Amino acid sequence: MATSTYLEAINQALFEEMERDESVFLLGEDIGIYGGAFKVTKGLYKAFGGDRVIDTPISESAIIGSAIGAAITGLRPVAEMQFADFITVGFNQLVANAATLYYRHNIPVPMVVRAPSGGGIRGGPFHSRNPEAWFFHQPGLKIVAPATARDAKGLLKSSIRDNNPVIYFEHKYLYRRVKEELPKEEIVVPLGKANISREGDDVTVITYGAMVFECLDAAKKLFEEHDISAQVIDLRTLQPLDMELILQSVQKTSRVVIVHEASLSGGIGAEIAARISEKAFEYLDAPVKRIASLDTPTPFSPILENEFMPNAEKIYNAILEIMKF
Amino acid sequence: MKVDMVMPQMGESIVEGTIVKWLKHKGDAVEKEEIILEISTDKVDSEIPSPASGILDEILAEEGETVQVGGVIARIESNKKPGKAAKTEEPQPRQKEEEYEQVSAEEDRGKVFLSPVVKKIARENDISLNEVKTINGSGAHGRITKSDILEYISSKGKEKPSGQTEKAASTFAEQTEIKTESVTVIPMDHVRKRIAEHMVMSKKTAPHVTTVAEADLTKIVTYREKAKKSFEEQHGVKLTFTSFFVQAIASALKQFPLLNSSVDGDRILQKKDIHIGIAVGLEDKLIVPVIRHADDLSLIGIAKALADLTLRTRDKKLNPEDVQGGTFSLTNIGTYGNLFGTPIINQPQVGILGTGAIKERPVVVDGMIAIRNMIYLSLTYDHRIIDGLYAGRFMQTMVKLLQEFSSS
Amino acid sequence: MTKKYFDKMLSMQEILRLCIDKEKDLIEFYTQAHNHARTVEEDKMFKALIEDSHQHIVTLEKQLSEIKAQQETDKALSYDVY
Repeated sequence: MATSTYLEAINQALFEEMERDESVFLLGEDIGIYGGAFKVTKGLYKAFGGDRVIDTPISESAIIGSAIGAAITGLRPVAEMQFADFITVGFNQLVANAATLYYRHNIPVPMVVRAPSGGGIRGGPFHSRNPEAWFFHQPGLKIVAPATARDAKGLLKSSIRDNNPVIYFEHKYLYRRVKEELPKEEIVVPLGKANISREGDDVTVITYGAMVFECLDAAKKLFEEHDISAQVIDLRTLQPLDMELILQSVQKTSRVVIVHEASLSGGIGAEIAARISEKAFEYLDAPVKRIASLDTPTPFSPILENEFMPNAEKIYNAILEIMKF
Repeated sequence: MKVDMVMPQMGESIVEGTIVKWLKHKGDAVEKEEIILEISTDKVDSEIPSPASGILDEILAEEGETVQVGGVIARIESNKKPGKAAKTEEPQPRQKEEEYEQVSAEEDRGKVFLSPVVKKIARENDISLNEVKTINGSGAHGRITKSDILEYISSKGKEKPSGQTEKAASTFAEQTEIKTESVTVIPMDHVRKRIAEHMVMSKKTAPHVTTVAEADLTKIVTYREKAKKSFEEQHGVKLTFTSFFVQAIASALKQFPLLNSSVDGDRILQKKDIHIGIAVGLEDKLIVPVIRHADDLSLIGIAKALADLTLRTRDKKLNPEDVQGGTFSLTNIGTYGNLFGTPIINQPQVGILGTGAIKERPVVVDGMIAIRNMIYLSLTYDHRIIDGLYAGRFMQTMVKLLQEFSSS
Repeated sequence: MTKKYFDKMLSMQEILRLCIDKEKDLIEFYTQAHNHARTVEEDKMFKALIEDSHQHIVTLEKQLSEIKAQQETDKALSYDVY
């Protein structure tokens, strides 16, 4: 057992998968000798060489397009976006090509796009976004968003082994803030399975990514101060959603708060809320509440960014509001 | 001009009526205020006058049909003769007002929002939404939350055995119903269904407790024997024992006003008027005509009011107001010589007194065995607001009033 | 905010002055917004933003005075040469 950060866990997953399977290779901007903007791929160039850790020009469209091409010929590319924000440059390649190839030609596209996402790092409007909802809307893509080091490792390994295009949103804020002891044995976390991060009976809190920790803080405080027991569900995989676990929890608690860092409107929370009202309306004792970032660009000003994003205090207040309903 | 004739509001809690008989047919001429049909509700049968003069143009509800209060049952093409202006005059404007008040009160209650899960739990536990609305809510603005109803059910569950057998009994009934060759299936008529509903509702609403006391009626029996002939000659009505009971109840209620009230959520509505309902069992139904302001009446007045009500009950000539507004009820359990019983409260009242048969029994009086005219009185009361002590004191007052009766 | 800032190449001093002007505009804007604050959170946020801009001005003015001092020194040094 050794302590690994979230970032190191990703690095380990890449290393292990490249070692296990020769068809796995990496491509992205400055990921080779430099080790990537965040040093996620540090050491991999040295270990596997320039043929398997490929530096690319600054063109996300080219990176994703190349990855698709490699994937349909039988390789397993892992493409890095330097920031998830810039994934839009390769948007068409992902939603029009990668997502539909299997449907059109029965050709699997076993590729992973790693997208460092998320705010709270004073990155402003181009380096802070959480663009998962755009891909959530496109059938044919899987979406993963780990919160813990263990899940970061286990989910990346599953993503690489999956035969569908997977977008893997790794949260920049968590890179070096989250640490945990990881076992020596291999960790593989299946896609499509959510995790209960905290058991509770009174209210279901559904979340993912960095907000898992804010929700856990809020839940702890609610239990200590108001004896409210909140069940915190970390979705881990956003597409496909683990509706089974969500509905089980809703049936138990009858109250739901959904938290995500991505902007509110058209977010994944909207879809979850809709499905709950369709499938578990009769179990609800209060309206489903969503907490998310404001519907604005991410502000530069630290003060405004704090206002813009959800945090433990806002979640705490929202849960309290729903409990008082 | 056509005038709509609607199902009238026949009493406070009555929401529908059944057409018993049309006395006029389509195309018949009718006069305003002329009786044109009979309707029946769970409380009373009534003859309904025409709201206008003219021709009965359309009959929209056939005999046997049940119509919501306010629903159109017929249309009358009114005359256009000068001087007999065809106004859609309301037959009973006062009742119309009451109806309006009732509707708004209903809306207020409707504001009690029940969430989907609360409704679901209520349905699964056979709790009516009206009963749910009696639960005190802990949510915002008193909303009844999931935990409120679960708590309510678990606290009810302590007296659950009866509820469970009730459920088991009904499943049993469903099963046997299939074998129709060994069972006669009798569908409940409107009145029976309403009685059944009311009884169940009352038992669910109020925790019933019954206290039984014994009274020596020798004085009253002796007095009545002596006075009944002259009384009938003088006043034209019989002097029944019921009159004595009504008089005693009215007097006792004045000392124990809590028994003359009703429960509204977490408020007690203590009634200033004493209107005593007398349960009268007819062949197929139970009617509770009311003696109004019983405390203002003398024994003679009570006897006269009773005679009037009895006669009109038998002739089906009761008006809706004759069965409304009772604040306490009296029921005679002793008709066939039975000693005592445990009556069910007539909601929204909180007390009902049952009188057993008056029988000659050997009792000890001043250390001697004597033959006295004895009776058992049983009081069922709503234990939510009436404590045992209070009920006990009321009963002892009743006993004293009856035992120490004096004709003056 | 529609002033044309960049119609010619600006010196560092001019840029810093522009920044200080912008911060002052911001303080005015935030102060107005603060007057319309409806909740404690809004009140706190605008106060913090105003304070933030004051800090920015302090920093910018410090930079400006350093440049000025540098220029004075340069001047003085050049006098020495001549």
